[in-house]
Amino acid sequence: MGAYRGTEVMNRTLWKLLQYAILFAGAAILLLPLWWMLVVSLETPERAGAAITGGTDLSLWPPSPQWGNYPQALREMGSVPWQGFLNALANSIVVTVLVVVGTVLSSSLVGFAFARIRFRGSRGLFLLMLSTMMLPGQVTIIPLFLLFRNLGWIDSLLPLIVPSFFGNAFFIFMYRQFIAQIPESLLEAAKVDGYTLIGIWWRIILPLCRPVTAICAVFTFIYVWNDFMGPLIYLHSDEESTLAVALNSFRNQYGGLEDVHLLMAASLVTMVPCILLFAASQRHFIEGLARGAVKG
Amino acid sequence: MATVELKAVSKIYGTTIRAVDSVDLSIADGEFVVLVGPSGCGKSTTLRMIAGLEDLSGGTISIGNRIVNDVPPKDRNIAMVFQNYALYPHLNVRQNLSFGLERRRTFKSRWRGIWDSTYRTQRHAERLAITARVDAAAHTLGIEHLLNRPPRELSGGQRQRVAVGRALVRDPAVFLFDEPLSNLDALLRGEMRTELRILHRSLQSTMVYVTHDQEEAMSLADRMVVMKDGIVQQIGSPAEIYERPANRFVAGFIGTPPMNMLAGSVTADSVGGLTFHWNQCEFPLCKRWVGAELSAIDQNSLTLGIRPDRLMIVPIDEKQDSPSVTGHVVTIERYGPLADIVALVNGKRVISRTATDALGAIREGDAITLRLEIQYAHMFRADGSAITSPRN
Repeated sequence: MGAYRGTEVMNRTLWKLLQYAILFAGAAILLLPLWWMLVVSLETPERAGAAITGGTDLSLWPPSPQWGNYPQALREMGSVPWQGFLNALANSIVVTVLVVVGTVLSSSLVGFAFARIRFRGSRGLFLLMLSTMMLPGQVTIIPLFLLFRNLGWIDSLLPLIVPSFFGNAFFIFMYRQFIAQIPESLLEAAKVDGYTLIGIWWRIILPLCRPVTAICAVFTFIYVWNDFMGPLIYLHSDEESTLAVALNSFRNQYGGLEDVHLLMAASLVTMVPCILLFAASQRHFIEGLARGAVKG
Repeated sequence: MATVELKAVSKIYGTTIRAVDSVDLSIADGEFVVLVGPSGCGKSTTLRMIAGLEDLSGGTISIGNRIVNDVPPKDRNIAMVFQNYALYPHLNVRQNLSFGLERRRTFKSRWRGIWDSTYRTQRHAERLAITARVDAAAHTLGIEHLLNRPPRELSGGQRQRVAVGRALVRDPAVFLFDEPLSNLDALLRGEMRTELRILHRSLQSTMVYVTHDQEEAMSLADRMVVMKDGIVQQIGSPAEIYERPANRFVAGFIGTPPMNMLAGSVTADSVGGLTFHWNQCEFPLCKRWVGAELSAIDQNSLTLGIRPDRLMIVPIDEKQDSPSVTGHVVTIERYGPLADIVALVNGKRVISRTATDALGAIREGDAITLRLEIQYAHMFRADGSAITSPRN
């Protein structure tokens, strides 16, 4: 009996060790490019260039980290020192924040309507909305461009921001599924308490939808922050570009072997907000993904 | 404080399903009325129509002499307690209680206090008043110590109290309860029942209460409304409904264990005495049924109803002068001082409720004689309606 239990404990420990080994290996593989970026961004130009061509092997940590690479890279983004980077940063922040807010507000509102308000044709509309997810984004590029040109919005941030206030099919679907699980009597109680539908949405539905909102906000943030196509199509002048586009022009300008350390430094800076956001919200995020549409 | 008046109120789903069929009901100010019936009888729908959560398909509802058919729930001066409590999970108890009291604030009024000091003082006074009302309600219900807790940390009974408290703080003219106790265990249910009675007595407000539990209905109601298939079967005080059920359904639904229904026929002899025939047994009916309309109707398909506590065990060999039936015991269910005996009489089941003391040595399988206290019997026509005797 004792021996048996001993074997079992050992088996379990071995199994745990194996699991961790696999996880560590996976994490290492995923972190490798990041580590490479970090090391290259801190190298001297010569060593960085040589690393690219395979001339030298990279060490785990640069022998003399060149922290000055970072200010140098950011200063040289765009034509005016610092200005290009700061402009792009500001634009990225404005676009991302507004799009996140717009997507959360509009998607939850529409999801609430689809989940809780019975109206003629609601099923048909819902299916129609879902069907827009089947449409590849590339198909709508030209009609949308023409639309925004007619509105006179080209070379402004509006084409990037405004559409988000009209909902996103996937998040509407997520909100609808989640809201459908909230007991009807909560809404009825609020109705008796004197709240209108908008009041109920704001005071009850939105707070209860936190897990969905976390997913929606994080996905949208990462997507918009890294979005390259949208800004490239609609923003033409230098001072209206976002970080993703600015980084690309930077690459065109400094893509050579001698400047790869600067490119890596600029790229890393661009990535920082996403990494921070994910670190801060990953608990909510994973929870929300795991819970899916189960009520809170 | 208000009366509630329902006139020919109907609810039709689709084109054919009559969930509520022409209900007339007039509830006096301060009355405690219980709607009771099996599930799907339309009692909840009726309540929800009073609350304004369902539209009417026909008829009118007035609260305090004002027709409220098109008035939204918040303007009806009602408060509702839901079966699943419907506490807002993201708010603590205090916020749950004050949720309906907070003034709706527009975007402008939210910031007005910054420059308008009169408004600021006024808002402050309002907030103090809300706090005072919440505290008073919490005190009444004994939940002061729970005010800062979220609902998920409360037990079922505590949640129930908070739900009642949420209605209480609004000081409504009419309280509506939709099966508020059915999620509680039996002990708590009894306790909350008593508290609701006490609350009603101290508030003196109109209360409409829905339940499927006839015992709960009997114990709470000033007046009961028994419903089935959307139709009101009988309205009356618990005693009236128990003693003079209007039809077979009401007789069978009210009372535990249910009334014994003996389907048989009646014959009259030459001197006018009536005899009831059931299942190879026959017993004379007492004099009060003579002259009742028994002779005018189909005498071959009548039902005699007798409550289990009017079916008494008697020693098997004792000579009987009152009608009795003989059978054998199937099971005995003991509830402390009372016991229910299920017996088979010529293959038909009857239930008798007696004092446990009177059981003696009777065991399952024994032969048994049960005496009918025939003066307490009820008679029903083939269509289920009760026959009223001239005297009674």
